[in-house]
This record gives sequence, structure tokens and C-alpha cells, in this order.
Amino acid sequence: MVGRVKPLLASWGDGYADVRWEENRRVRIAFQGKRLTECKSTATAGGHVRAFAGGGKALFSVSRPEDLPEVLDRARAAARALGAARARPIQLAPAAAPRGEFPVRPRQDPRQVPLQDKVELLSHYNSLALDVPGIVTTHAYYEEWSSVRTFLSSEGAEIRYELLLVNLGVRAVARKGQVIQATHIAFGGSEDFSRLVGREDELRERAELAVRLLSARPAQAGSFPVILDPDEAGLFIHEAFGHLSEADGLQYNPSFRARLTLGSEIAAPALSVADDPTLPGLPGSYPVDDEGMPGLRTQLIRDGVLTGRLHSRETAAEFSEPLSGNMRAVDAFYTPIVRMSNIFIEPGPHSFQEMLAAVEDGYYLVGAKGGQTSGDQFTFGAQWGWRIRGGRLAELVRDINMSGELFSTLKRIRMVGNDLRFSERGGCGKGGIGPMQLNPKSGKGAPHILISQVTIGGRG
Amino acid sequence: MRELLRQAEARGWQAEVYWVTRDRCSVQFRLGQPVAVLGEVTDFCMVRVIRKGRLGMACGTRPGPELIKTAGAAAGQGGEAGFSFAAPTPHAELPPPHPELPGIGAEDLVPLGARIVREIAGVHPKAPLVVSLERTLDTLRIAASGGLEREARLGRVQVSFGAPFPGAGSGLYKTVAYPGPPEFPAELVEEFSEWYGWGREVASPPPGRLPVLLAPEAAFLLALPLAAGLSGEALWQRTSPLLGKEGERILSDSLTIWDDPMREGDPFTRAFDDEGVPCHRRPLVEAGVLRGYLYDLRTAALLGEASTGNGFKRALFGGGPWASPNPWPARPVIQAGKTPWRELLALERGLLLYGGMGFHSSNYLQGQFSVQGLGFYIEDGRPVGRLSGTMVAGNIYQELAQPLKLSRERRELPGVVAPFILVSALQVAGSRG
Repeated sequence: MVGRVKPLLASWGDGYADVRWEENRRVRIAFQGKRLTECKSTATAGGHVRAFAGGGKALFSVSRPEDLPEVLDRARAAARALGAARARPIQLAPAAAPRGEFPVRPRQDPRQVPLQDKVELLSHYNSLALDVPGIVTTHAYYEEWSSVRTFLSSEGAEIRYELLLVNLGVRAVARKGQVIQATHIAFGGSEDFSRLVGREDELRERAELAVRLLSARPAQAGSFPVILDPDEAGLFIHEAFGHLSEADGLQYNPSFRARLTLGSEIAAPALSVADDPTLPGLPGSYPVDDEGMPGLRTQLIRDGVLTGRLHSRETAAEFSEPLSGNMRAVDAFYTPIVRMSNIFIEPGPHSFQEMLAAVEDGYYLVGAKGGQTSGDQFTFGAQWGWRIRGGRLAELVRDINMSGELFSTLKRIRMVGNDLRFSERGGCGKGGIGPMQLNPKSGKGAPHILISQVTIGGRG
Repeated sequence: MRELLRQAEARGWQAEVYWVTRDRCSVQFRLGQPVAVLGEVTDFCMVRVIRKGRLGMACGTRPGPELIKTAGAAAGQGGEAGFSFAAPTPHAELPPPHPELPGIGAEDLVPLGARIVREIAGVHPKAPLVVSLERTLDTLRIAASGGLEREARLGRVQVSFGAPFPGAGSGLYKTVAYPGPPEFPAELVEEFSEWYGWGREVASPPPGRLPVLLAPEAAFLLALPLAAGLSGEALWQRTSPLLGKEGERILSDSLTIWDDPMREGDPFTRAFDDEGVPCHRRPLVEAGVLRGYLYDLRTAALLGEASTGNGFKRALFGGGPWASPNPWPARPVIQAGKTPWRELLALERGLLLYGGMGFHSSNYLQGQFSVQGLGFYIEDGRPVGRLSGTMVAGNIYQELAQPLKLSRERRELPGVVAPFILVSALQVAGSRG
């Protein structure tokens, strides 16, 4: 591929072009209840071409390397035609052309572990969950994903980098009559297979909780103060704020962009937030992004003040802000978009007990259960929670979804804990230019936080 | 593909090859300007092998012999298959894609996008418009041991447009699909322009139980929990609330829902599913009574049933050609009612919902939803502003089992064909409460 494409890029002429060629491998094993339902190996190859010419942009995906020369020509023509229909040319921030190799070096490489051992490990955890009295079924999965990427550009970039991620998770389902409750636990979220081993006690405890939730009360609808555990607080900062720090979302919303000017006081002074792909061993860690830029730590909020944003070369030029190295694609069939790496709330001074004592009537919500945002509106679930009464944990609650408006909620963060913890399983779904991309390489972390008012949805 | 099957059969294995070639072109507009052309010409292939009764799978970008070998190795560690691949039974013939569809490119899509921008900007000049126009043409081939050979060309042009509301990130978006060259979606553009105007201000409904008019775009709150509950997977796992309820009333008697992949002129028609099993038009719910479940080959075999032609590589999250088939409706169609939707909107107090965020974190298999409502607050029969931070919760087997009113208008969306549905009361919570 390199030999075929390099001369074409070297003589590209006006504008800019890059080609990313990938060799991707996946292993997926899944149990539904006692039954092993999936044992699948995937090996795909593909390329993605980005052409900037005549002020326009064209993005093409192919699966045959022999198609790349023709696609480069087609992309250039399409970009020029599009540029002619635009009032303003698309520009890229200047950057040094990277060269080099960035391999992964896991402590125990999952690619070297025999398939049989992976099936046996998953079967072992699945059986532990099924053995818990009251558990009626499970969904257990092992997912291994690796990508070897070669990136070339018309500016002379030539890099080869690897990405690797392994996860194991079990969803345990309990049932009593018509009431069904489930809890989920995931291990891994890094390049290291050894993190998946020896986690029996955590798994059993989480499965037992699903059974306890059968007799828990559904959450009561209304507005309440809430304490979020680190997993839930990480989800909150990812969903509620993180997506708004991605500059490609703001780029085309002028009124929203105006509200998020760097230097604005957008949150309570207790809150500081960063995004950092350089932290080792987390789901969203990587050396370079998919336009060849080094991944950098970005301070997004410091003491409540907006201090940074996540960028591509295009958005960095548009906003006249520094590059951050956050332009990423799930694979060659998708174009890169601006994405968080490992976003996290920096630790504060408070203990969990201090937070609990500060709540007269509210909720303590635990365990991320998916979320969604639409600009300033966010909503997300919790796997379980407790009602807080008089500064103490009271009854267990279930079926919890909460929502809010970003700016008012950020101002309502009253206390930030001293117990920062990163979640092992990440992942994020985001659209943008092109279809929705479900990216497993997205991490989140936080300490406990206390928010003075959040809307809880429920049965009334 | 036949050669691959021969290689598997020579080893005494059964095999199935699924191979899709995708040809896609799309144009994206932001802030009224075209910002990118996207193109894709890709192949994706999945091989399933049954070896000594055990199932293994392998995926790649080309149908090559290494896929058979890898799938065979996976089958060595795999679970009991319990089913055989589809037999070459006849299926209904659907008309081929529109002859002009393959030739539709950026040069056709850009002028249409520009016209949509122009028309809406004439009414809402400051709206930060997003327009997406995409032509897709998939060539799908499925072959299996036993003589199955299927081929279909599946294509459409999908047009989506919308804008965030002034000063907000949340917005209003509309989608329409065409089986051939797209037309200017005049009616939808007009509707967007009117509804967008309703959302200039934020309105806070009082907390409590309020009537809610679900626009067709919000019908997923009904369609997705129902699909999950009808799935042979949930029946086999005994987690479906619909287990053993065939012939019983589960929803309002106003609701009749067909799985109908054969509709004439529908851009989402299918003659066979992703396992090569013929699709059929059949009722799922008839006047509120449960009439049928959804099975793929695997879950049908587990439950002693026949596949209903519902083995699709779709899921709430993570579907696509690389996914394993699982039970999913081919084309859910909710029967229309008799009332003009504007009459249904004449509520003293209530909500018009066109979407809901956070659905996937609800216990939707049990029919529950608890979402942040995207829509408008209605007072004295007219929309007074958009919702912001308002949670709407309910259970389709409770609130949608009560008397409902359905509009005579219906919209053909990618996931469902649906009318407006007026629900007498759902739980509403928001910043007021």
C-alpha cells in the first residue's frame, strides 16, 4: 500500500490529502445463559482517504488497496467541486509531519492467548454468575480489538501505530414474577489480558446485587440532590460536558459556541476537568490520533473556568486554538471525528462521608448505565442507588434515569471527592460527519461528586 | 462463494457465506453550506461454519479460503449450533432498485440540499441548518450448504435535515427516504418550519401525569421495547414479559402492528433476511392482541419453532454486517387511525414528543421507558415552547394498553412506519418539580 500511495501523495499539489490503511482484528466470544452463542474472529483490512482541495473536503473508504489511486483522484475532484459551492474554504491548522512507529507493549498480550483459554475464562465467570441463587440468565462477553494503522500524508507524514483493547463483561439478570433486574460488570479496558483474571469476588457481589434489586423500590420522580459514584460521575462528565468540549460539535452552532468561550465561568469553582490520552492502561489511551497528531493532555475546566477544547486540525484552525490530538475513527470504514480520550474530573478535598452528611433528602446513584446528550440537554441511567435520608443511606432503589441542562447542573456541583477512580470499561457513540461510530477506546474517570439538584425520572 | 462452501463441505462442515458490497455517497451541509462529500466502496464478508454440531464465525473484507479455516477453528471452541443454515425455499420477488439509483452522486445531492437550506432559511434565516443526503446501494449475497443462493440489491436515498434551537444544543430533525431519485420534501420542510418556530422559547410543564402525543419520530418508544419483548432470544431466556401471551391482549385495542417488508414503494423492502430465510407480511399485534413472535434460525431451533424470516444483523447498538444475526422486525408498520393529527394536538395541557434521550438506559425489555423528552409543551391546544430537562416515563404494557387515539397521517421512517399516537397520561417530571 505504502509504495502505491506515497508517490501520489508526494505530488498532490494544492491542498492536503492523507491515507490511513488498517489491518484490524477482533475476537468476540459470548454466552447467553449457559449457552455459548458466539465464537467469532474478524480480520478486516481497509483504507480511508481524506482530500482537501479547492477549499472543499471529500472523505472516502475502500476495502481494496488497489482502489486507492483511483479513489484519491475521485476524492480530489469531489473536494474541488464542493469547495466551489462554499463561501469560505476549509482550512487546516499547520502541524509538523510525524514519522515513526508506535507499537503497543502489553504486560500480557491477549493476541498471544489461545482462543480456548479465552473461552474457558469467560465460561468460568459466566458459571459463577449463573450459580448465584435468583439469577435466571446472563449475557457474558469477551471482546478483543486490535488495529495496526499506517498513516501517510501529502505533507510527508509516515507513521505506523497500534491500538489494542480487551474487555470482559457479565450482565446478570434476576427475575421474580414480572419484575426483572440486571446488573453489569466489566473488566479490562486496556491492552493487558492479565487484568481479566482473578476477579471472581467482584463478579459474584455484582450478580447478588441484581437479586437484591428485585425487592428494591423504583426511584421517585422529582428534583433531588444526588451523590454520584465515580463511575456515574465519569459518565456524567463524559455525556453532559465532554461532548460539548469536542469542537466539531460546536463548530456549526454559533449561539452555543458563543456560550462556550474560553475563559468563561461555566461551572462551580469546585470543578476541574481534563482529557488525557497519555495516561497508561486506560480505554482511551493512544500515542497519536488518526490525523497523525500526538495525543496531548488538555485542561478543559480549571476551578470552574473553561480553559480548553478538543480539536482536529480543521477545528483548531477554525477556532484559532491549539491542537489536541483528538481526531479519531473507529476503523477505516469511518472518517475521523473529534472525540474525547480519557476524560476525568480531577479530585477535590471531600470524603464520601462528608458528602453524605450534607444531604437531607436525596439519592446516591451508582454504576453507569448509558447516557445520551443533545447539546445542553443530557440524560443517563444508574444501575442502582440508595435513597439518602437525614445524611444516611436508606433504602436501595432501582430503575433510575436522570436528566438535566448542562450549564445549570455544572453550577450546582457542590462537593468533589478525594477518591478519583477510572472506569475499566469505556466506549462512546457519536455521529457527526457520517454515520454513528461506536468507539470502544474512550475512557472516563471521576471521584464522588455531589450535585445539589438533578431531575430524576420515575413512576411518580 | 460456491467454491468456499465446497471447501467447507470437503471437510464435512456446513457453511454459510454472507457477503455485502456497499456503494455509498453522501453530502453533508452545516450552517447552510456543504462541508463534505463522503464516499464508500467496501466489501464485508461473514462466514459461519457448523463443525460437528458446533458453531464458529469469521469475518473479513473478502470471501477467501482463510475465512473458512478461521471459522472452522472458532467452531472447534464454539458452542452447540442447534440449527442448520437456511434451505433454498422460494421467496417473493421484489422489484429491482430504481434504475437511476446507482448513478445518483454528489452532483445530484448538492442542489437538493441547497434547496432545502434555501426554503427553510426563508422562514428561519438564523437557524444553524444541518442537512444530510445519502445514497446507499448494497449488493447482498448469501449462500449456504444445502443449495441456498440469494442475491438482492438494496438501496435508497435518505434525506435528513434540522437545526438546534436558538441558544440550545438540542434541536429538531426530520428524515425521509426514497427508493429512487429524491424529490424535494415539501411537506416535511413546511412541517419543520412550523415546529421549529414552536421551539423558540423553553416551556416547563407541571410535574405529574399528562397526556402525551407521540409524533411518528417518537414511535420508537413503542416499537423498540416491543421488538425486544417479541424476540425469540428474550423468549428463550425467559426474560420477555410477552412469554406465553400469544392470543392475549397486551396493548390498546387501537394498536395493530404488522411486520411488513413487502410494501410497494417502501425504500426498506426485504425479500429475505440476513440468513437467507424468506420474509413475510404478518401481524405482530392485532387490535392489541399478540399474534406473533420474531425468530431467527438459532432461536427458532432452540424453541422448537420455524424461523419467521427475522434474522437480521441489527441491534439497538452494534448492528451491522459484522454482527451475528438475531431476531429483529423486518419492517414494523403501525396501522393508522382516523383522526387528523392536528385534532389530536388540541390538548388543554399536554406534551407533543418527537424524541426521547436516554432510552437505552431504561429497562426497556420490560416495556419501561424513562427519557428526557424532546418536544413541546401544549397549553390550550397550542404549543407554547420546547421542553428542556423534562423527563417522561411510562410502560408500554400499562399506559399504551389504555385507550389510545391514532392519527390518519402516517410517516415512513427508517425504523418504523407510524402515525401520531395520543397516550392519555404519562408521568412527567422536570425543573418545576
